[in-house]
Amino acid sequence: MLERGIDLVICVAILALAIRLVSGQDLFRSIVLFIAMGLMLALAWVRLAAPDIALAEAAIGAGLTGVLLIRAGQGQRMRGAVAAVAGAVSGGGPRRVVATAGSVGITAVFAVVMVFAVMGLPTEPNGLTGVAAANMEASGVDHAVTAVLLNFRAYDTWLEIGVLLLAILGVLAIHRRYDCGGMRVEAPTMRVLSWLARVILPLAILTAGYLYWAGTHIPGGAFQAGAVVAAALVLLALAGSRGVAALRALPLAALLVLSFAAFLAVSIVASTGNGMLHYRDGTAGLLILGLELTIVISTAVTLAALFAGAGPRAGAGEPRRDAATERPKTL
Amino acid sequence: MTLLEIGAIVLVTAGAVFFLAGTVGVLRFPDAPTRLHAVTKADNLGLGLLALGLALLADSPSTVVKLLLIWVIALAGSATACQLIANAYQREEQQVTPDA
Repeated sequence: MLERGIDLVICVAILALAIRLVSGQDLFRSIVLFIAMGLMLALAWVRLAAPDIALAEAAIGAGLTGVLLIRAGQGQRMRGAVAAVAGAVSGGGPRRVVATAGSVGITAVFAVVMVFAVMGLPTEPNGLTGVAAANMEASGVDHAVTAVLLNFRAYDTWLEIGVLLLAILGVLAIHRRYDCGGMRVEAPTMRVLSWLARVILPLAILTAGYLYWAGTHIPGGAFQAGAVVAAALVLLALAGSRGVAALRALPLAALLVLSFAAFLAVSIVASTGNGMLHYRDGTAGLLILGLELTIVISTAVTLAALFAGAGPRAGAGEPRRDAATERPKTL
Repeated sequence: MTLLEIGAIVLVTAGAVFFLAGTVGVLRFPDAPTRLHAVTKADNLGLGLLALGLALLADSPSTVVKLLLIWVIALAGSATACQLIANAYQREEQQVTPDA
């Protein structure tokens, strides 16, 4: 009864936050609501007994995505674009009718599809659950989620890393930089913040190491570990630490592609003839640990670089007036 | 019911009361500094009481250490966030009313 009540409160909170965050006009308020919704989603995953996804949602979905959105919202261009869209929708007249009807229609279609999809879900666990459980012995790890991510479905994980790589390459292409020179460091202002950043960094590295190691037998894993390190790097950059300036010397491109390249190397060199990423007998455990380490490094650097790239361009002078801010009516 | 359980219930309930008071403060107080006062003081103490209450029920010493570590880190984070928000508020105030 009590558990039902808690679940209900979480569901209602997620829906209420979602509705308020898309219906508001204030961009900053929407981002804060988005972060709150991410935390409620993490709680929902905990209630669904999926702590791995809860960790990822809290660290990446709510934490780093929220920071990225705030950072992007600071940009003049983004503000102009949002103002233009808001102006087009709230302008009234036929345009507003079309916008409202369109969004209601799309939402209704998705709702119907979702209802059918949920109704079609099997009530008993079936599919590949049994197969995965039966092959845990050969997977090289003791935690089912890690076994699926890094062994049974390693190919999917490789492609996800590829998506992350494409995203950061796009950001870097816009900035036309392929080193850490694009990493913008704030002027050191707040002593409290730089103190916190210095205290948090070793703790974050310790936590990341723990999550990385724990992933082999209990919930945890490489992506979560990378997100924790990335958060510490973001904090250092915000605090104006000179330590982050030292990062500029790092070969950014090499660190970004490290994980993708490691998967490629394993698929060529260390796999059997039965297929890509089909580990040889007895090597799975070691290969998974190695691949996860590269995921930690690449994820941390990629997320931190996305944050650096989301902000105002390094070296850009005064914020420029954008075409979108000047003529919002025509968009 | 053991003495430990009674102690845990008292501490967790007291913590929840502080959280409730802090939330009411955020909703009812008029401006940023007083809201910050409500949320940081009440939540820090509330979280501490929750952590202590749960620590009484923990089944291993390492869980007790983890709970206390969570509290200490949350204290540091909340104190820093409070400073940052208060600073931003002051800067905004100065911009809005330069002669104040």
